[in-house]
Order: sequence, then C-alpha cells, then structure tokens
Amino acid sequence: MSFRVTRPPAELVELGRAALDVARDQMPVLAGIRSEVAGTRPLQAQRVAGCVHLTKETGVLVELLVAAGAEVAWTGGDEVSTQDEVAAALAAEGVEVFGRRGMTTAEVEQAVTETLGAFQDGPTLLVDNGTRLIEAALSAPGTVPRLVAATEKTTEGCRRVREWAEQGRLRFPVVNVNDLVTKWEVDNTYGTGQSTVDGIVRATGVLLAGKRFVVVGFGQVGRGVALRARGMGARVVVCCRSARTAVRARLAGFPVLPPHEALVGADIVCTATGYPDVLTGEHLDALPGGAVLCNTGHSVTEINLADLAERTRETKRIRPHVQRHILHDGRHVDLLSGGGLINLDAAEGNPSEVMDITFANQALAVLDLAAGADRLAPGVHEVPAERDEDVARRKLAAMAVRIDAPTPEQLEVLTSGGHPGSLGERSGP
Amino acid sequence: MSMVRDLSLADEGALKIEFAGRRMPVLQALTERFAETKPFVGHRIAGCLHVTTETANMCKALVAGGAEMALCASNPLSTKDDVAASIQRDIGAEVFAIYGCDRDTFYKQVQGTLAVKPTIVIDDGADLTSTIHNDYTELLGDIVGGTEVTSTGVLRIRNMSNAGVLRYPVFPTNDAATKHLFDNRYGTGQNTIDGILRATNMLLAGSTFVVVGYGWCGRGVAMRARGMGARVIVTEVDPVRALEAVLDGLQVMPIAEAAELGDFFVTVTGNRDAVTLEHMQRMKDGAVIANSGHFDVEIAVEALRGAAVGRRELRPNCVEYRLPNGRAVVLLAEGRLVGQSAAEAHPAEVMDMTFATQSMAVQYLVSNGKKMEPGVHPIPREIENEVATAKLDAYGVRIDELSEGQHQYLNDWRVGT
Repeated sequence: MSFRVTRPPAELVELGRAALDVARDQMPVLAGIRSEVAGTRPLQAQRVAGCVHLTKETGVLVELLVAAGAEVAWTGGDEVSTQDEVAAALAAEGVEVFGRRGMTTAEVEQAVTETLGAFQDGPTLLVDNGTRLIEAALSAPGTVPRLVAATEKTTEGCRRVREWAEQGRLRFPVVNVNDLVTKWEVDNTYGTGQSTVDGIVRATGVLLAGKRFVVVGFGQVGRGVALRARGMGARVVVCCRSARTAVRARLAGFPVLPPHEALVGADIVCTATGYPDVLTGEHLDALPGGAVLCNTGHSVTEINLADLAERTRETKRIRPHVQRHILHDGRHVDLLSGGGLINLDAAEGNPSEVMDITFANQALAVLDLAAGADRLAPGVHEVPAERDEDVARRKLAAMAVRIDAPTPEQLEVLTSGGHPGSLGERSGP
Repeated sequence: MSMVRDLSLADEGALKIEFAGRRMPVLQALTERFAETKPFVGHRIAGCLHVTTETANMCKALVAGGAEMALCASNPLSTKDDVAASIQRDIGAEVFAIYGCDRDTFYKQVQGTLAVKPTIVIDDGADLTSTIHNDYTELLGDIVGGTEVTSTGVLRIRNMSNAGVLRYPVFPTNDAATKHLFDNRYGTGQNTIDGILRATNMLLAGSTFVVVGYGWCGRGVAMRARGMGARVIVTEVDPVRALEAVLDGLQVMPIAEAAELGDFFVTVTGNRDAVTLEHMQRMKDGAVIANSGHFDVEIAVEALRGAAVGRRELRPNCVEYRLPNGRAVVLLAEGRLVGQSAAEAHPAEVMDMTFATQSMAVQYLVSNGKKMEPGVHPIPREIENEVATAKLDAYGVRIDELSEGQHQYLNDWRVGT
C-alpha cells in the first residue's frame, strides 16, 4: 500500500487552498522571495524531496519551491502533524505528497522511503527536519544517484549529521539552517516564548500577574519564556547551570537562584533546558502544594516523571491538559501536557509569522545550493552571516521598518571584524 | 423553570467550578463565614452575570448564606453550559442561561430570573436594573438594594440616578479599588491578550498594537501587549489619561492616524463607535480588530458588514472582511468581548476579589439597605481593606504598619517642614 495522495476530494482541496491563503497572508518574507524567483525559475532542473511537518506554513514553502521551477515530493515525517487538507491542495497542484494524519511510526518511515523514491532519477536536493531523509539516503545510496546536497533544520539533526561526517559516512554536503540569529531570535525566543505562556494560560486559565514563576534554563527558549512571563506580570525567577547564561539572566533583571531555593513558594515551574532530569524527586519535595509544572524544552524527559509517579497517591484530570497529582504527603501538583511540550500541546506552536522566517532561511539555503552546491565538500556547512542579514532585512521591509545604512568607512570596520561586538560577530545559540 | 442547555453536563461543570474555587481563597473564606452566620436568610437575589466558574463560586457563597437565588446571563456568548448546569443542579440557584441564544430567548431569561421577586439585584451591565425600572415596577417595593459590577453599567445607573428614576440604593462594585485596579487592569489585560492569541495565533512581538481608550482596562491591555513584545500606541479623548499614557512611555496619537499603523486594534472605551468604518478603510491589509469593552458597540460592526465585498471565516472567532478598497480587516468575536468569547473571561484570582467585594456589599445592603437613600453609594472603605488584607494573606505577603509616631504625624496639621 502506498501513502501517495492521489485524486484528493475536491472539498478537501478547497479547504486546503483556503488554509494556504490564510498562511500566505502572514508570511510576507516567503512571498517576497517567491515573487523574485517566479520569473527566473532557478530550480528548473531540481528535484526536491522534503520531510518537514506538513502544515499550512510548510505548504507555503512547498508552493515557493514549485514556483521556482522545482519538481517537489514531500512528506510530513510525523505521526500526527500532517494536515490532510494541505496535503490535498498540494497534491492537486502536482506535488508528490506522501502520508496522512494518524500514521504509525512504521508508516511514517514508509512514507519517507516513498518520498525519497518519488523521482525516476532520485532527488537532487533534500529539505530535512530531523534527518529522516538524510539517514534514508545514506543507508540506500542507490536511490539517490543524482543527490547533490541537503538542508537540516534541527539542532539534534545537525549533531547527528556531524557524527556521520566524522565517521566518513556522509557523502554530500548538508547545510545547517538552524544556527541563524534570525531563526533563533524569532523562532526559539519570541515564537516559543509566546506560545509557552499562551499554552500555560490556555491549559490552566490562571492569572499570571503576581505569580511566582520559575524558569529553569535561560537559553534562547528560556529567555523568551522569562521575558513573556514577566511581561504578563509574573514574578519571574531563573535557574541555570551555565555561568554565562546566569550572567545574562541577572543583567536582564531576573533574580537567579539555585532550584531548591527558587522552588520554595513557586506557583508555576517551566523547564526549558534541553536536558533530561531537570526536575527530579528532590525538587518535587521542595515544591509547595498547588504548584503547576510544565516543560517547553526538547522532549518529555526534563521533568522526571518516574520520580513524580513514585510520590503520587492518585491522579485526576482537572482540565483537558491538566493532570492533578495528589502526593503521598497530601500536597498536590498540577502537571501540564504530561510533561511534554506545553506550547505544541496546549497552544498551537509557532505562529505563521515565525515560520515565515524559519522557512525563508530554508528556501534561501535551497536556492543557494541549487546555484553552487558543487563547490561544497561533504560535511556540515553553516549559512553565511550575510544570508542572515539578508533575511533580517526582508523581515524589516515586511514590517515597513527602515534603518540606516553604514557609511563606507563604517562598513570597512564591520567587514574587517576589528571591533568585538560589531555586527559581524554573531551571537549564536 | 430553569433554562440550561443540558443538565447532564453538570459533572464537568462541577470539576471546573472546584478548580476555579481553589484559586479564590478570599471568597472561600467568606463562604465559610456565611454558612455559619446565614446573613441572607429570607432574601431573594436576582443576578445577571457572565455565567462562568467564578460566578458559580459567588452563587455558592450567597446560597451558603441562606439566599434564594436566580441567575441569568449578562452576555449569551460568555455562558459556559456545563457550569450553568452545575449551578442549577449542585449549588441550587435557578439558572436561565444558554450559550449563543438569540435576543428573544435572552430577554425571556431576564424575565425568568425576575420571577424570583428579588430583594437584592446583582447586575453586570445594568440590564436587570433598567428592565425592573421600565417593565417590572411592581417589584420595586421589595428591593432593598443592588450592586453593579462593570463600569458601563455604573454609568447607566448613574444616569438613571441623575434623571431621578433610580428607586433603590446601588453599590457600584466597579468603583471599589479592590475591583477596578485588579479586575479591569490585570484581568482584562490578560484575557484580552489570551483571546487574541486563541483567535488568531499571531505573533505579538514586533507588531504595532493600538489600544483605543486608556481607562483601567486600556492601561492593562497596553501593559500586557507591551509585555508580549508589541509596540503599543494609545488613542484617547481625555487629555489627562492621554498624558498618563505618554509618561508611561507609550505613543499617543489620534485614531485616524493610528489606523494606518496598527496590526492589532483593541477598543476599551465603554463608548460607541470607537473604531468606525472610516478608520477601518485606512487600515493595513489584514489588520486585526477586537473589542474588550462591555458592549458590542465600540466597533462599527454593522457598517463593516454593510460595506464588505467578501467575508471568510479564517478560524473560530476570527472573520476576515474584504473592503471595496481591496484590503481586508479581521474582526474577532463579532466585536463582542474578545476575552470572554475567545478565551475564558477573567482568571479566578481577580474574580476572587471582585466577587468577595460584591458579596460583602450585598451583606451590607441586607443589613443597611433599608436605611439608605436611593442612588449610587460608594462601597465602604472597610470592605476594600478587608478584601485586600485577605488577598495578601493568600499570597503570603506581609506588609508594614504605621508606627505611633507616623500615625501622629499624619493626623497632626501642626507638623510641617
């Protein structure tokens, strides 16, 4: 059985087109790039295979690739995130789409394999999100005889690709489209910052003003959560392990405390570190009764659920995303979204405007690769800082914000890299 | 006699009422006190309020105090059907509220509520008070007094009082510091942002956010929008409030100019036509318009519908109207209270103070209403202090007391420079 979307019902196509219209209106940067490439069709000879959550925003990226002349095959690479109406609308435009909402993990993998095999001579470019396509291409090189390069969008994916490169397994260049200032700032800090606070309010309905709100971790995501929680009137306290981020938090005006002190009197605790076991039994023991626990970090492991279960006498579902744990000592704590990602589960993840920037970086990387991938060696490549500036400039134009241009003398200082902290220095993750 | 959607939803409602109740410690303490002292025995209370979990907890307090109670919805879109069912079944008030009902049913619900023949009237928007004075004057003899919770309603009742038609004493709950400083500012501030995010899921950071009106609600909305990373513009008609906005660090300009700049517009004026069709015609393509004032008159919705050449429902509570000039505006929740319709109204923590203040005002009316003149009376200062002290206790916050010397200094006119 194939997961290829064929002859989708007309009503579903209509729904998908309407959803794409809505998303397109909120993605002005992608629209700008699209209008530039629609005339020149620089992807004319390219066959692009993509594996990124098939949402309406991704659909807008796919449309851009098609408008630029590419043949495109796509799959969502996820069990539940595929929007069938978007898949239908794209299939109706001639895109090869594989998968549907509600697949098993094995079915997701089959859809990935089918996507990779959609073209007779195989794809020339891969657009990846979590290395499913890259891994499939590496394990079956016969399916990708003409492959020239790939892009990868996640931190974890880039780490794995680097490992494969060190082992000598990587046979094509991979561009890391994750570590860009525009991506981190807009997506991780402000996108996740907003959707996390949104998720907490939707899940619990609590007033944030006056609440003691502990943010564990002050990386890009933790910083966004702390800023937005403070913006909603919470009394925010930050915990972190890195001295560098602790200084950053303190100078942003947040009290920085070790967890066992911060958690005393906490009303809401949100983990945002990317590490497992950030909140363990000893922390749970320090919490006052009634505290709300949630996570917006990488996965479901930041709050140690086994330690929580060990202390729990009974649980009851209070609201759709709130599980109340009544502990053996009589206290209770409310766990949101089962310790999984609060912003995706209780809210809606990133707004279209955020994905606009993330996908603009991705689209430009694909265009750059089509223009000159043959010059790149196998391995992981960073996007040049000028591309970052370019995306930022496009975003400013979309917001109708004008800025000054540096004088030739200033430009020389900037490009010579003589001054620490100049625009040339990128503040990475 | 009651009108609720479906009594079998009551279990779900009961759980939500309990969840909210845990975050209403001041009202909980009052409920216990009322249950012992039974101040409302022999009294019949008619309430017209948003039928939410927090209102349910206030009904619980009043019924615990011995009152017979009937409740109708002050807005058909804010009613939670499961909560209405539980108020009817578990708390024992007669409920007349169904989500999304039409105007005729809405007025039938008001009638049903007045059938209780109230001695006390609790109002939100002055619909009960004005209906009684217009159509049910035979009830006036029994009524010892009323309360009104929202600024718009207080204005209506003041107008009645000034016109000499108000026949019983009314406490404007809204004017209590323990209400408007918290409910209007922090409650409306948060739930307006919450409603906009649930209706649109758009990024506020970096957007231009126009707040029309800088009263207590406007101050709260502006503060929270800035806290979410928006650049905030305020429009006002009152020079003192406009000046306050300037010194709060916000941009102030006429709405006609702001219309061209905003990505989001929120009306919080308590008046009609705060955003007109003419303003909408100047807006950017895709501008989002929402209302957080009590009535749906602040945005010229009818004029917009009349002028629009296209309409698309983008998401629930989120409708795009295409104007003849080719641009579109996005109207949230049909121009009704966005925080009530698209989110969950005020968080329990602020309603705790509002309803504790209101319940104590009702208790005061029961003891003293007969001695008070018809008219609008300020809520006694002792009630505000008692509510604030109880709330601070709940937060675990301690404060200082005046020393004997400080006390003397404040009371002695002879001490100077």
